[in-house]
Parts: sequence; C-alpha cells; structure tokens
Amino acid sequence: MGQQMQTGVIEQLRQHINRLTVGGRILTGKTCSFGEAALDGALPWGGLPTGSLHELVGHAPAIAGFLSAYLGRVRTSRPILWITPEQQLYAPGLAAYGLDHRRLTIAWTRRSQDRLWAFEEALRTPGYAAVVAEIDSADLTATRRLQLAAEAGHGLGLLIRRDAAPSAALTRWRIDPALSDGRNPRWSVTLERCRGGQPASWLLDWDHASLHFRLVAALADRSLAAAAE
Amino acid sequence: MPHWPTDRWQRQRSDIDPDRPLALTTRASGGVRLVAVDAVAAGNGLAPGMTLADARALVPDLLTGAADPAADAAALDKLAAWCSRFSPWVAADGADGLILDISGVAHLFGGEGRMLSLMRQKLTHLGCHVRLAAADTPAAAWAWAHHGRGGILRGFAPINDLPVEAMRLPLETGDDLKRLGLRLIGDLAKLPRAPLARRFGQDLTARLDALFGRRGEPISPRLPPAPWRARADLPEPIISREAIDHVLHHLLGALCRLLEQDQRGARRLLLHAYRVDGAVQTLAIGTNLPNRDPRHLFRLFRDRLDGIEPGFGIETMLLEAPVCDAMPGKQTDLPQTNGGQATGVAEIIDRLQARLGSAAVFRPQPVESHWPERSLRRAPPFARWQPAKPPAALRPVALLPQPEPVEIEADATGWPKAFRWHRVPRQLVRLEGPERLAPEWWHGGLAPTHRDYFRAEDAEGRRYWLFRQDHAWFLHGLFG
Repeated sequence: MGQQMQTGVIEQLRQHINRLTVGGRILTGKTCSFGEAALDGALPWGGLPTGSLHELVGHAPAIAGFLSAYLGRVRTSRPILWITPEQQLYAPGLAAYGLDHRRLTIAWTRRSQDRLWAFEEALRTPGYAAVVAEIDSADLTATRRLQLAAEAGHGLGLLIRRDAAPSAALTRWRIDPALSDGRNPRWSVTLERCRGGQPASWLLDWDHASLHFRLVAALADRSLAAAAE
Repeated sequence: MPHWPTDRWQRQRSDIDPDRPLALTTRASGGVRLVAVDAVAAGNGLAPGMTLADARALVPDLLTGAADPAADAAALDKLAAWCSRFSPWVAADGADGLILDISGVAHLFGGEGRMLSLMRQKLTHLGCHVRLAAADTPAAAWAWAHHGRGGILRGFAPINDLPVEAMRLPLETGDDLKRLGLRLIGDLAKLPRAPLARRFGQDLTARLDALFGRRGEPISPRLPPAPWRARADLPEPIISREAIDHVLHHLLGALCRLLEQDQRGARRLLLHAYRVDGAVQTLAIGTNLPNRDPRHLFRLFRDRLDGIEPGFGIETMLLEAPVCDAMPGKQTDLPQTNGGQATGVAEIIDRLQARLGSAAVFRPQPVESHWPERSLRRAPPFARWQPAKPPAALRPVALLPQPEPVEIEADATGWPKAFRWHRVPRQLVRLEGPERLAPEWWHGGLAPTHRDYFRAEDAEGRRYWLFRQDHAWFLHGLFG
C-alpha cells in the first residue's frame, strides 16, 4: 500500500518535472494562455511557455487567423516578427483578430534557407514577444537548433510548416477551417502532439466582438487526433 | 597628368607597345588633327593641334586612336575615387588633373615628401605620367605642377618667376598682359591692385589672391568625407577572405573607439577596398539605431564581404561612417532591460536587412484609402506610426497580389452558388455583402469602376473575399 502510494507520488513528480523542463533544462519563461479553459487545460503549462518552439500545420489562412487571435491575447508591448515567403499577409485582416499591427514587422524572402536563418537569429534575439516563420520543411536537427535559440532569446517560436517530419518542438497544432455559424470564424483545432500532454481536438470559434476564443465542441475522441497524426 | 588621355588609352589596352609613339585624334576642320600625344610622341616633336598628315610625315610609325574626352573624364573620376586613399578631400581638376587637400593627413604617410613619392610610385605603377606638386594653396600647387619644377613648394617666392599662364587665365587676358610686357607673375604681383582690377577685371586680382593664399579657394571634393574614418595600408596586398576579415576587425575596432570618444553611433558605414590594379570596391551597410558595437557591425559586413573581388590584391582598406547619430554612454552587451531588448531588435533588423535587402523587412502601415491594393504601405521598421482609420468591414488575412478572375456558377436568381479557383470547384454555402468600394477619384485617369465585395464561405468552412466588377467575378483574398 505504502509502496504503491510512493510510486504514485514519484510518478506525479516525474510528470511535474517533465512539464517544467525541456531536454533536462528548466523552462524559465512565462506562459501565454489562450484564455479558453479547454485549450489551456490540455497543455501542461496552462498555455504556451515562452522560450520554446511550437509548430502549426494545416490551412494557411486559418493558421494566420488562429495565430493572430492568440498573439493578440499576449499582453505585451514587445514586437512580433513574421517571416514569410509570400507577399499576401494583410495586416488589416490580422488586426480584426486583435493583433495590433503596430507591433508587427514582416520579413519577406523567397529563399527558404534565408527564412530558416532569419528565424533562428531572430529567436536568439531577446526583445521579440514572438517570431512566426513559414518554412516548408525543417528536419529534427533544425528544430533542435530553433528550440535552443528560443530558449536563449526567451521568445515564443511559432513554426508554420507543411511537412510532418520529427521535430523538437514542444507542441504541434493542426488548424483547419470549419463550417461556421455565419457570424464568426470557426476552426477545427487539433493538438496533435504535446510534450508531457495528450493529443486533443476541438471545434473553436473566434468571437470578433469580444476578442475571445469560444469552445463549440470538444472532440474528445482521441482516435480522431491519432488519425490526424 | 600631362599625358592623361594617352595614359588612359594605353591602360585600357594591354597589348600596346609602350615605346611606340601614340597620338589620339579627332576629325576637325581641315582634316584629322591630334588631340593628345604621349611622352614618346611629344619627344619626337608632335603636339596637339597638328594634322595627322603632318604628324605621320614626322613620325611614320605613329600609333593612333580615337580621342574620347567622355571616357577620359569618367576614368579621371575613377582615379579620383582611388586617390581618396590618400585624402578624403579629392577632386578631379580640369580634364587631366587631380587636386587633393592633404592638410592634416600627410603625417599619416610620414610627411609631405614621402606622401608625394608614394603617390608618384602608385600612380606610375598604374601607368600614369604624373607631375606632382604640393603647395600652400591649390592655385600655387597647380602653378608649380604645370609651370614650375614640381615637388614641394615652400612659401610663395618661387611663384613670382613663373609665367602668367600659371595663373590659369583666359587666353585673351594672358595675351593682353604679355603685350604690356607683363610676362611673369612677379611682374603682376608688384603692381597696385586697384588699377590692375580696373584694367583686367576682378577675376585677375581674385586669382592672384587665391595663388598667394589671401583668399580661400575651396576644393569641391567628390564626396564630402566623413569625419569618422579608419584606414589600413597593408604592407603586402591581401587576397584571402581571412585576411580581409582580419583587417576589417581591426578597422571596426579603431572606428568604434573614435565613435565612442565622440559619443556617436554609426547609422551608415562604407568600406572601401583599394586594389593594386587601381580599382576601388565599396560596400555599404546601414543600421536602424546608432551603433558602435564592432561585433554587430562586423556581422552586417560579413555576409557581404563575398562581394569583394580582391583581384591581384587589396593594398589599402578604408572604413568610414558618413552618417552618425548622437549616442551617449557606453555600448555594453545586451542587458536584460528594455533598452537592451530594443538594441537587440534593432540589431537583428539590421542583419535581416543586410542579408535580405532593406525593402524586404518592413512594417505594414495602413493608408487612408478604400481601395484594398492601396490601403497599405511598407514602412521602414522603425518609421513613426501614422494612425489611420480601420476599414469599415472585416478584411481577409491574405490579400492576393492581383485579383484573380474566377468562373462562377450562378443559381436561378443569378447569385453565385459555386466558383472554380485553381481548377478546384468550391460549393458556396454562404454569401454576405455587398460592400461597395469605389476607387478614389483623385487616382483619376482610367479609374476602374467600383467593386462589390462579398464574403463567401464554402462547404468546408473556407472563407473567401470575392468581388464583382462589371459582371465579372474575382477572388481577392482569403479569410482566416
């Protein structure tokens, strides 16, 4: 009985330590929450911890909307850098999600190796609240370097990618559009991978009026998340 | 440079026998005439102004080429750039001369004498015939180079023995003076000024004043020099990238110490590499905030240094900061303070711009225009924010660079129920609008007609910004 309890406590502690560390290093930064209990609750850190790398895959405009909504909630005056291969990013549209585009700087280059370079260097720089980069593919080594750079700069690294190669990122999200109620944008949001957490999937609305995420339905079926992976 | 046109002509051709007399010619009244002759041809009695026929009679093996004053002038300008290694105050003078202000820089070369011999050596090496003179005024230096013995002129006394032509007078004034028996500058200098000015004009007395330093005569330099500069004269020409890096480190260290002394930070830096063959290569970098951190400035140059082609070697490198701003205090390594973070962001933007191009890094600045294509401007990353009214209705997160025509499938009432884009049919479940946008009249001319914009959603929840214009449909953006 006592033995069992001890194992339970050790296991709990182990999980706790897992949440607070990345590769043996302690996460020191703050956490930026989504402000929606279902999402924050699925993440061991109660949001995304700064000084770490996260990935997004899926429908590009939906990702841009979802990220703008999330970054708009991160209450800081520190700037955001968005590294993109396209000339399409339209700031007035991002502003509708609450992302104050006075904070936004865009770096545009078609050469993917330059985007990767810019991403790593900007992440390493203290001062950015977040650095977003659209990079077609990145291998495990590249994502390890990016994770280390994010730890050094204490910012949030958000990698929008197309492939599904193994990665050192703490989380991977899949964002796809979903049929809306006609008033607000709706997304199918899947947490495909989460260090120290479980996959999960939701239908989520963004309320333009109150600038909040709103849960429509939790697709608790884990097989759905697994199928997406 | 008494033989500049022929020097220039020979320098541009490597297969010429330098001992063969050369003349450059042009077609003039009375046939082809010589415009310039080289030293060998001059030694054989040829002079500009002769007809080519006469010249050939005197020197049968004369080599000729076409005179090209524009190319001479362009090459002279390049040579002036190359001479900025000696002094930043350098200007082309006339069609065949260079004038340098060496006050305050001669000591860098071990005095005026050594400086002149170094210049003679370097210019001769480039294939230029030179007559060099240094004097206390530009006019005296010109006179001493063209009509005196050349070299360093101490004081003004020897000028008195030079002919009046050494004052660069208009031709008729010179002839008038000679007719009056005034052949030497000394003859003029003895005369009272007022009658001289009445008889020959203010210009003559002004020239006398300039010659004897009674009036400043400015040199107009090619480019105003930066007060913050550092130079390295290399004992051996360098070629390797490691050597160039090493010299640049050294120069940046020296320049940043100067900037620190003056409490300044660089906004723009120019690195000039002077090659053995007379070419100058220049790299420019810029910063968004004043900076004097050698490590950061080196990083900005690092990616660009591959653009330097050392050829047969670089013998001098010069670094200057033409644009600086006040920057108090010591530049320290980024502390975890707001100031440090701002420095970090400014530095990374400098580096992104150095590598991606300065226009590739920008801040989207809304402009007051209804027309979507005109509603944003790319502002420099640290430009002042200008408030603008937000758009009246929801805008897409992605705006296509050009509206793309789409094929519409209409329902019975004429509204689209599906459209085709990228060859994929999209069934619409929702269409909201219209929001009518009209082009501003002041963009005038062939202004397009108004557009009716709609927000559409397809069966999978993808949302589009469509518009109708003159019965045609276009896709213009994608909603998030």
